[in-house]
Order: sequence, then C-alpha cells, then structure tokens
Amino acid sequence: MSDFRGPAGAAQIQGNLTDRQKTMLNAAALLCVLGILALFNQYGSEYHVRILNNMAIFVTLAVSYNLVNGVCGILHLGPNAFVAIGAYTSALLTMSPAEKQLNFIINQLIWPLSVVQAPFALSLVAAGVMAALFAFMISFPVFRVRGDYLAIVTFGFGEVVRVLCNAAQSLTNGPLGLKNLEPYTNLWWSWGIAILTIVSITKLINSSYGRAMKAIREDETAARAMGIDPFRPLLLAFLISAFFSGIAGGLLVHLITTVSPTLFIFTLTFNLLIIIVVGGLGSTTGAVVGAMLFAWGGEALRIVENPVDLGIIVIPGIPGMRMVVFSLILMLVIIFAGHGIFGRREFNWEQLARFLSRGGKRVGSP
Amino acid sequence: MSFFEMRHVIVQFGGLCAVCDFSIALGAGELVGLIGPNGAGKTTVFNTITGFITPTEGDIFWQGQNIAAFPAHRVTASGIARTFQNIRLFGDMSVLENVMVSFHFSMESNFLLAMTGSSKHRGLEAEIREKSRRHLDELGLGHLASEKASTLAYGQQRRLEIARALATGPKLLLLDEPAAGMNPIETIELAALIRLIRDQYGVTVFLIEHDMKFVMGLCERIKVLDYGKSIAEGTPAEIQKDIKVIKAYLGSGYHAGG
Repeated sequence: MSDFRGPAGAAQIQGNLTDRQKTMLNAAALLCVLGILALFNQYGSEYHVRILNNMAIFVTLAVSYNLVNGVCGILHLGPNAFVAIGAYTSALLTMSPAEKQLNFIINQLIWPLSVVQAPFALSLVAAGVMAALFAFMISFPVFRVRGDYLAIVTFGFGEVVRVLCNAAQSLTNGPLGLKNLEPYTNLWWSWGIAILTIVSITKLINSSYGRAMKAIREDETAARAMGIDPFRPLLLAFLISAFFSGIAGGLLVHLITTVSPTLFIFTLTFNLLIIIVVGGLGSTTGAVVGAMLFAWGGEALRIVENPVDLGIIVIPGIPGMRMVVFSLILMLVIIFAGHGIFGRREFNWEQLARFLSRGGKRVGSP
Repeated sequence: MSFFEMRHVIVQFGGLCAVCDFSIALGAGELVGLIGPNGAGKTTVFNTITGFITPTEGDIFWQGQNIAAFPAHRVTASGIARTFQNIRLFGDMSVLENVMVSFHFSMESNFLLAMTGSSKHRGLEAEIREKSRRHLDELGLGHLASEKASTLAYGQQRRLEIARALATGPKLLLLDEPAAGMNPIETIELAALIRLIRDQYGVTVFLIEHDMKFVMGLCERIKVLDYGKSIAEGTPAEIQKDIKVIKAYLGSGYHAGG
C-alpha cells in the first residue's frame, strides 16, 4: 500500500482503503445487521423471525461446510452426522430430568444423562465439542483416502450416525425422538453464532492456515514439497467445521423444539452442498448468500403453489411446484454461472468502493 | 561424512528396478547434474530423496540423519527443497501467496491465535508477507506479486517454482528439468539464476536436465544414469568423452569419432 493518504473520497475512487477504514466499515455493517435484527425482533411476524432464524442456522452450516469442501477441496458428504450429534447433545443437556422421563417411555435414558441439566449456552458448547470429537475419531480413516473414496467414507459415517440415532434407543429415544424442548433459539443466538462463525472462519481462511488448506486443494504433492503435512490442515478444517456444525445442530433443535432421526437424513447434506455450489465453492461470501437465498427462497417460492386467477380461467395450485421451480433455478445457475454466484471471489470493501465510484460517477475506468 | 550422501539406494516397483544401487555424495556448495536417457530413473532418484518414495533398500544421509524413511514434509523441513518436472504451482493463488505457503511449516503460531486475529499472529503474518515480497523482488518476480500463478508465462512459472522452493530455506535444492520448454534466451537467464542461487544463498544445487549445452555449461560435476544404474561420473569434459555415456544416448552401433 502506498504511503499517500489522500482525502477519503480520493482513496475510495482509487479503491485503496486503509485498515482503519475497513474496520470502521465492518463495524458499521455489523451495526446495520444488528439494527435490522432488532427491528424484526420487535415488529416482525413470527413467520419472518422463523425464516431469519433458519437463515442464520443455514449460514452457519454452509460457511463451516465450505471450509472443508470449498477451501480444502475435499468432497466431504457427512456434515449431517455432525449436525445430528450436536443436536442430540444439546437437546439432552437442556431437557429437565422430568421432561426426559416423560419422553423416554420405551427405554430409559442411560444414567448420567438422565439427571443432568445444563443451560443453553453450555449445551451449545458441548454440542460443538462432541461433534468435533466425533470428527477427530473418524478423521484417521477418512484422510487416508482422497477424492471419490473420501466422499464414500464420509457419506458412510453420515449414514452410520443416522442409523445409530434410530437404534440407540436409550440414548436418543430412537424414532420417537425428543419432544417439548424449550424454544431457546432466538434471533440473537442464531445470528450471534452465525456472525461468530463467519468472522472466525474468514480469519482462519485468510491466515497461513487457510493458505495451507488452499495449497492442498490446488496441488497436494506440491504442498507436501513445501513442508506441509496435509493431514494437519485438513484435520483442522474438519474439526472446526464439525464444531460449528454441531452448534448449529443445537440451535436448530431448539428452534423447532423437537429432535428426530429423520431431520438428519442425507438430504440435509445435499442441501448444504447445493448451497455452497450455487454460492461458489470456496467462497465464504458465496456460502452466506447461498444459505440466505436457500432459506428465504424455499418460503418465497410458495407463491408458485398458489392458484392463479387469469380472469377467464383459474389454474389450481399444484403442491410441490416450488421444488420444480427450485430445480429450474438451480439448472440456470449452473448453466450461466458454472462456478456459482461468487466463484471463489469474496466480498471486499475496496471492490464495492470501486464499483460504486464507477457506477455512480463514471470515473476510474478509462 | 559428506554433506549429502546416498548409499546403495534401490527402488523397486514390483519386478522393475527403477533405481538399482545408486550412490552419490554431494559436497557443500557444489553444482551437480544428473543426466540420462528417458526412463533412466532420474526423477525417481529425486522422489526418493524428497520422501515421495521410500527406497526399498539403502540409506540417505543428510545433516547427520538417515532420512530415507522421512515423509516429504519432514524432508523439506530438514532443508531439502525441490521443483517439479511438470510445473506444480498453486494455480488459483497469487504469486505472493505461492511463496507465502513455503513459510507455513516454520511458523510458530496456532489456529486459535489465527481465528481470533490476535496481534501476535498478525505480526507473524505481516513478517511472512514482507519476507515473501523481498524474496520475489530478489528473484525478479516482484512486479507479478498479485497476479494469479496460473496466468504467468511459462518461463515465469518455472522461476516461481524455484522461488517457492528457495523460500522454504533449503541447504540443498533439487531442480527437476528446470530448462524444459524454455527458449535459448530463457535458458541463459536460468543458468545465471541458478549460479546466483548457489553463490548468494549458499545452496547446493543438484539438477536433472536434458539440455546438454545447459548442463555442460553450468554443472561442475555430472552423474549419468541409465536403466536405474549409475554408468559414469565426472566433469563435463570427462562425461562427453565417456564411451558408456555415448552408447547409452546414441546406441551401441555408434562409434565415437568414427
């Protein structure tokens, strides 16, 4: 960066912002988000608040999933396992012993869990830690292989966890699931975690650790020749991804107030994969935008299922039509933006400033 | 004990003996070439030294240790860096980032410091960035620092590979066909660069090359490999006259001087 520090306007036209300016802009953006959340919290309908909560949870999941799939370039197909483990851990910790007795009618819940109860915040931390522990356990077989093989191994572990949720009745209550959880998740929790995830993972990606991960994605042999043991950055990404996915699982079940194994079928992984591919594999910005579009679009597309009154004839609503439209949109994105909406680009203030100064004042471009 | 030494190294792939009983000793600051016809096992020798292949038998002594069983990243950390025959850059990363990756293994930080953006970690990052920039400037790539590596011209990509390997701080640098695909002017520049690396960085250079003019002009000592066996060793002048070398390259029907 040059030593020249012109007036703010000139700096913006050149697109060079000082670190201080960027920090200010980040703080301002954060305040804006918090302001919008406060408005919705106060005046928004229950429906809108619910969509926003969903959005935040999917943002958390997508950003952490992208760390493994996009940044490290590993096709990992088992995030549903991490979410499931986080969800059950958190739910079993926040339920009161009395509520647990009511829920577990066929098999009793095993001992220490049947009597403990923890506050929501602690249960979220435990959810993240348990998911990360599971990730650590499976990482040794998982990272012995690469490519399609790794995809199959992780997919297998995802299914194993789902089946265990069904079968381990004295731990998960099997297919009956857990009901009547306290609806602890609100906008502050869900978006707080989402922002924490975005900020910490972005910092990691932009650090030396992130560069090592990208180097492995670009060429693992060359990365090894540069002194990087591929297992370590991959394990790091895997654990951090699992940690935040586990927390998101905890948030999810305290939003919908029930847990059942059907929540964590492969469709969940598949949706996350769609989100990060449409957003742009490897771009955190893409993951955030993709997750928000996904959570909002799923609801907004309900319009196409309503009956249409054309004056002369009335076309009746077709249930399931939104999935057809959704698939169409997906295909269009893949055809016209093969690398997703953002590709591997990230949002940055300098580009925004350049874009605005060019569009607004028609300067900068020759 | 010599600076670097391979003793009776054998690499077998199934029934094929890719490297059979290969021995070499390198002195500190030497500039040595490894030549031989296609498929002679030259790259396998390099892969064995750098830990990508574990030798079936034999020892590799380096810095007082036997590194024959070391994995690739440990070999690099111990001070041996390499480039690849087919260029292997981190294509989607910038030129500067490509070099910065080389400093990762020696960085003394941890991921929590990175994720929380602590000032200690940011200081280390800034230091790495500064070192990488200086490094690129020294090797004449400074003006390309923010370009994507995959968009560089071929000769620049080769140069960046060398820069990246040097940034790991090696004492021994292995170059696998550095002049492949270069035009005569680029080749002359490359020879100057390799001499500069040896003289200024004090790095011992061991290189594979097919361009005979380049090898004979640059290397002080040459080792010749054919069918996994070492068939000759000596100064460029000696190698050029060696009957076994001429046979290996041109076939036994050729009579030297005849």
